[in-house]
Amino acid sequence: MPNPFDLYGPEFLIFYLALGAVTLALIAFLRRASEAHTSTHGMLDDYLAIAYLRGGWNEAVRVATANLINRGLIEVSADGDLKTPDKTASQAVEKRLERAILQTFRSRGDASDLFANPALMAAAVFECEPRLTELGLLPDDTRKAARHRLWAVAVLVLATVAATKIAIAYSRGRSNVQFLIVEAVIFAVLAYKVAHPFRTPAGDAMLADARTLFADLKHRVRMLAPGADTHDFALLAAVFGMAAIPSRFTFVKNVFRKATSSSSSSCGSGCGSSSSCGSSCGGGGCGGGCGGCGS
Amino acid sequence: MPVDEQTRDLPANAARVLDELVQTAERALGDTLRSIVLFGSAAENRLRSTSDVNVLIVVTRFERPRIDAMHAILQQGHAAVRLAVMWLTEDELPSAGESFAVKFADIARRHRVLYGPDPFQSFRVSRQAAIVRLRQVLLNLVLRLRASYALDRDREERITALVADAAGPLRASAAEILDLQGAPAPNGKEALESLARAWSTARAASVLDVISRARETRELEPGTAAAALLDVVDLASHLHGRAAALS
Repeated sequence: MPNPFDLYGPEFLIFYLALGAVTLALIAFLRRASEAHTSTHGMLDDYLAIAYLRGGWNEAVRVATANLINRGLIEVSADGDLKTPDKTASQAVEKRLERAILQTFRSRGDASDLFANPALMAAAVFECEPRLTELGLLPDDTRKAARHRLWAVAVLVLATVAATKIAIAYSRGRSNVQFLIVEAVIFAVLAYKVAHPFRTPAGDAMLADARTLFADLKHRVRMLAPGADTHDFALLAAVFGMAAIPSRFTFVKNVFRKATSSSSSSCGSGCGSSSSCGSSCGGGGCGGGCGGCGS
Repeated sequence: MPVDEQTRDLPANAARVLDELVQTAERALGDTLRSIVLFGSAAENRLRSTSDVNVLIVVTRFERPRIDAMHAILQQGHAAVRLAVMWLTEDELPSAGESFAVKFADIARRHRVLYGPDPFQSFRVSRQAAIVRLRQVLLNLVLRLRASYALDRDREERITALVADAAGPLRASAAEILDLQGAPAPNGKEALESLARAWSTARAASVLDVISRARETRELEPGTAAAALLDVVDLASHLHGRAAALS
């Protein structure tokens, strides 16, 4: 077998591509194997926890807001602004995140404020993340550290191989190593994503299980009426996302489309500054989460 | 008998929700829990996508903290499989049987005990109470459906839902009529088929078909719902006449 470091540029790039792919597969395999014992039983009993598990803090905020609108605790104006008609309404809800949202809209505000509000992010994280972590559905600090170690080892291997080849190339009077550097950086980023998904395998299994359990609800959407069956509405939005809500719930389009079109910068900062969402968006596990607010 | 043996023939989600319900009820209700009974179409394993999963929970007392601990499973059960729970204290059972004789006779006919003793083992409703209540149920159904027709005849979705929802009381009433006549039918559906044929051989098949389709799909052919509802009213009137003739 030839020494791979003796390969010419294009051949070595192909070799490096194969090495990167194998490394990514190995990361995925080792991470899943190390987290496989984090299985859990039963059902999640909180719609916000389900929404958070599916899409991170901004998805929990989105679903909670939709639920409060559907319950009549937040009014939507013709131009899509939100306002709590009853200033004491926040005392009528049990969940911290719901109270925080109602307090946010005691004065009229835009829906895009939802995803740029650190108080709402904190309320969602406080309400959902500890329990999901305790249940093994989201990674705890130990698992996050193990994931990070796995990623670091992978990057070390990929960087060492790339650096060795670059050194050899320079020693042989060649300097066209830009493609290799780009390839190495891309693999480092991909390795981070593969090593740090938002959920654990148990979290993925729990979400899949919820989708199976509530599949019939998705088929019954035409029987849901705005303002009625509010528990069913909340669970439908939590498990399947706002896309599953039928069009007769007109506020979904008025409020959240507006938020989507006007808050791309807010999601960027929100995801960047939050460890929970940072990992959620980085891991590709929350397409609905950050995708929903503009990214 | 373990609850999973009572539910293993049911659709997977219904069985799972019922198993969780029983486990949660045991934990939350503690010594106030007497029995959990599955009744209606689920007890016969004839669930349709639009069917409710009906459960009766018998307790010694209705205590807020204990009931509150059931909130999540009730919410999720309703969302997942249309779980509908009726709460009854054990001392209310006899008077509930008298007051809602048709419903409770139907429960007594088709139920499964998921937990505790069978509260319907020695359950009896007096013939007089059963007849009075049967007439009441059927007359109430006729009056309610007429009022709905007069008000909502141009709301096909609403009329279709009324046709679908009439199936339960019609079938339970038909079974009760045949019971009281001493000729019980195997189940409510067959009882209604038998009495519908006696009502009108020409219209029976179509009205029964419409009721079944409305129950299964919550949809009827455009423009047919209002006429279907009037057929159901006629059938209910016929059953009321049969009930009125009982003594």
